[in-house]
Amino acid sequence: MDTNQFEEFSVEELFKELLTDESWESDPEIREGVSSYMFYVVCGYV
Amino acid sequence: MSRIEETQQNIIDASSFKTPEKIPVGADISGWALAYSGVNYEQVIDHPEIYAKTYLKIFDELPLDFTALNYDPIVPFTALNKVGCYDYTLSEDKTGITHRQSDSSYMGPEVYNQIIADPDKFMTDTLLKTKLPSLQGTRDEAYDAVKESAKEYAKYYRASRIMNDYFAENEIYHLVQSRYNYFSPFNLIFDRIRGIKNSLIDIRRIPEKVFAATDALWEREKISLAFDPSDGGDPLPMSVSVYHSECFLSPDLFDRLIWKYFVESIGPTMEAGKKFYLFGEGRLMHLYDKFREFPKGSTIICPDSDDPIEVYNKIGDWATIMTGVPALLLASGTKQECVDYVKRLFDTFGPNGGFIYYTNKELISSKDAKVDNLFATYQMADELSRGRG
Repeated sequence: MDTNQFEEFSVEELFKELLTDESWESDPEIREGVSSYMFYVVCGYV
Repeated sequence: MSRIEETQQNIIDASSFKTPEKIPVGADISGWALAYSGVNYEQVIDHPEIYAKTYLKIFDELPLDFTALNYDPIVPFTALNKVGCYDYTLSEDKTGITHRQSDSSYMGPEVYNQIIADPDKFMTDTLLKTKLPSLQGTRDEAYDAVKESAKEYAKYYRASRIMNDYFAENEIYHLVQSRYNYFSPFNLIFDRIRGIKNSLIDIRRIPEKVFAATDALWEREKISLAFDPSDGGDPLPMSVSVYHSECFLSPDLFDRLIWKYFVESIGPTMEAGKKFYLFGEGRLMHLYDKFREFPKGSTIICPDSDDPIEVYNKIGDWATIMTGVPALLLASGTKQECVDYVKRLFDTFGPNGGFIYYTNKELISSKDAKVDNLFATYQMADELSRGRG
């Protein structure tokens, strides 16, 4: 696998943007879940 | 004193070689609990309330003081599927979640240079884009995929919230809830980056690369594990580590790849009075004496494949043995054999502290224990745990 072919963007920044996605505005629990998911993924538990 | 406070005190006393009011009795149960309720993951994963309710049924019925899982979501395999990761899948009977290590895609040996050059970029970018293929395209494509994945993850999160509330209301203590959770950099390479086979070859063919990579990963990781003296003196919540590759390592390699970082990160917590819980995987008899470097009573060992009596003879004067009936016996033995084993454990370990009763392995799926055997062992353990002082 040639990792140089990956698009250049920060996964962490992508998650931070997802945290403020307007889709979650009406449901704080989903936003908490996104935060938990971000921790799970960004900390490398995959 | 609340029931949870009593359990905490009993764990502290038992692991400090004092006779506790009650020998703590705990269990580590995941998918087996669903099978006990007659369901499987496939049937409940889209319904968090049903998932939590069916999972928790066994905890209404077993006499338990604590559990070790922290009930953050289990491996959210359907959420990972949404970002192209299929490393985790359901077992044949759909009551267990399996890490398909032999089928996973791992990175080549050139990865060591990437880690050494920029461990932060590697961990937060390259590794994630490798393990989650939907992140390899454009940012917009990745955003949409992660958003769908996050919606799926919300189901797991909802279920875990219900489970956490249940354990709080029922005063069942969570053993593992500390931020001092040490997973060695080499285990990361072993488990997720190079895979078991490749990494064990690497430490023989290119050891200096492996050492440099684990050092680089550690420099990044140690910040989050940095010891805070302000909370270091409390015995609980305890520090924790899961041993994974360690059973394959010689003492010298263990010192270089595992112990070196452990002493730096978890060592200060143990010196300060915090308990440390080691969940072993595989045979570790050649390593247990290492814990004599830390104060007596600071270590709690949950042996996996080692005979607990042998572990007790090796280090039972220094560390607490947290164990129970072997999973194999629970799955295939008779009820009498299981009950006799519980009596043997309590008679051998019980009277003067240094013993906590626990599942010998996590009960992951339906065939990990016969229902009658599990109930018989916990009824006996509950009876024997009281008034042993």
